[in-house]
Amino acid sequence: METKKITCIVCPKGCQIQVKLNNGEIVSIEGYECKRGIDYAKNEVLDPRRTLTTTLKLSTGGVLPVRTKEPIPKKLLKKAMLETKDIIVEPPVKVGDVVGENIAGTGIDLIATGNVE
Amino acid sequence: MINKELVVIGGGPAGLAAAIEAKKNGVEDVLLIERDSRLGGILPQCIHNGFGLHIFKEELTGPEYAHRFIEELEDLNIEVLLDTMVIDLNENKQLTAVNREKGLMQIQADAIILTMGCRERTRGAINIPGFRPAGIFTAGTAQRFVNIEGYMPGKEIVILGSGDIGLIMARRFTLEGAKVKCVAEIMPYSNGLTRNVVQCLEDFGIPLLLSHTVVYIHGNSRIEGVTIAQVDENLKPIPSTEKYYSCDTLLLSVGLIPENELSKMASIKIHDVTGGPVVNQRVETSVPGIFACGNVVHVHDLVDFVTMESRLAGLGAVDYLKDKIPSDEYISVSAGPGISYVVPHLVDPEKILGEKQNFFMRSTKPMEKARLFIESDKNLIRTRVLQHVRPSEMISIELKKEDLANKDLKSLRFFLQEEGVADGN
Repeated sequence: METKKITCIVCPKGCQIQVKLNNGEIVSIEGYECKRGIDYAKNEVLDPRRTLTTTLKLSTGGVLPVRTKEPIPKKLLKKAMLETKDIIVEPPVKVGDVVGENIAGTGIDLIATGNVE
Repeated sequence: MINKELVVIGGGPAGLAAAIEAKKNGVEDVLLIERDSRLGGILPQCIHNGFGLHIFKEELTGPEYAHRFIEELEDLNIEVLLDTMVIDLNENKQLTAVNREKGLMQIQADAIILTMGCRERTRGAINIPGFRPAGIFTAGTAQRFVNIEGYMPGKEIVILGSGDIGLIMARRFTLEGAKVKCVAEIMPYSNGLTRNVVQCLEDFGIPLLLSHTVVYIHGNSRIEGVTIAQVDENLKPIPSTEKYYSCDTLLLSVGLIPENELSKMASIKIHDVTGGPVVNQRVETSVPGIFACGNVVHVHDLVDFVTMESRLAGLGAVDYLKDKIPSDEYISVSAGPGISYVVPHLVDPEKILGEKQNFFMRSTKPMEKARLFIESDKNLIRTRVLQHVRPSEMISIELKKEDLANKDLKSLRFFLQEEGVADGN
């Protein structure tokens, strides 16, 4: 039996959640204060994901803030960062525009979070 | 002299929300003055996500959060002056602003909302001994370099202080390929939000050295390293624990100071602990018709709370301009043991706006379980059990109208007592 301690980050409360595992299967989850905590703890143990936020180069100089449209697997963050290194964006760009497709093979796109004229 | 109904000083999240709220509720002649060349304040450089969960019920990045307000401001045709610095303000609500196109402007406002935000504490504020080389940045300055200008300040980073911007920058630098050696925090607990400790440090295996501080800075022209030592319970460095860390950059994330030079010029009463104006439930300052909201009042950890407070300021200005603010009779709201401050500092218990009154406060130390007491002249009004109390995470408490009204209250005092310490739970 293995216990993983997870600090929930769904809200600023920061619940300390204990997940008991038996051969990779979740046996019990304790210490959460809301339903979102259960889902977070499950995902954190089985498939931890993060929204990647970074900047891309603009062809006109300066940088454009971007994020992955959905959270991507935590272990792919570095791979995704290496891919973003080579992307150069042509303005104009609007918030929500797709500026990179299928990042790190996740099927998840990179979208602009700022406007550039 | 230019005449304006309402002038909002500062175009960050507080100024945007306050100006929008005032205009939407009938103030036609609103002028927003911003010293930077774009709106949004600090938000455009906060490219990480986690904003807007309370206001929009979704997780946005800083630029996206700002964008929503900037769009609304434009739709409402609110007049904005960018690259314009307010250099003087007096209690008659006359202000002097300056920019390169129009030169000096004298403005007479009927009402003013102060939303100047805060600035970072620097090396001078914490007196680190050693040389004065290049390569020492406040975390927010480094954030601007990386996220707005597109420059990396260095490759080997040490961060002093575990404030949120420092934690966020630890992750940002790591993702951009730099090596973040450690985050040193003089206190025995983190000063940032738990989620930032988890997502920015633990995710990347960056050590958080609690009860540690930088005791010496090495390097002549560029920083070459720092000496870090553990501190004792009086925060004094323990010499035998000194350790050298080589680095080309030192980031400081050691606190924020509300920026109140203008408030002081207008003789507005400043609170000793927050460093911001003393405000009442309408976030009106000691000068009638001058309101203040956001980080200029007290440093918030969530922008959502800034937005809520600023909407209140907008509505306060609307009422003031319509001559609708009654002669309120305020009682003082004070912080007792375990609480460092409570905002608002003044409240009229008989004239709560809406059905409930929000009080924001911070604890003086971390407590796993604590009981909050709210009393008036030794009479207990309410208690509340709080879990995982942290000085870095603002406590928000709502009191209902019936808790306050018709009780002949003379004062309100909040204090915290730790619970369940004796038995180790």
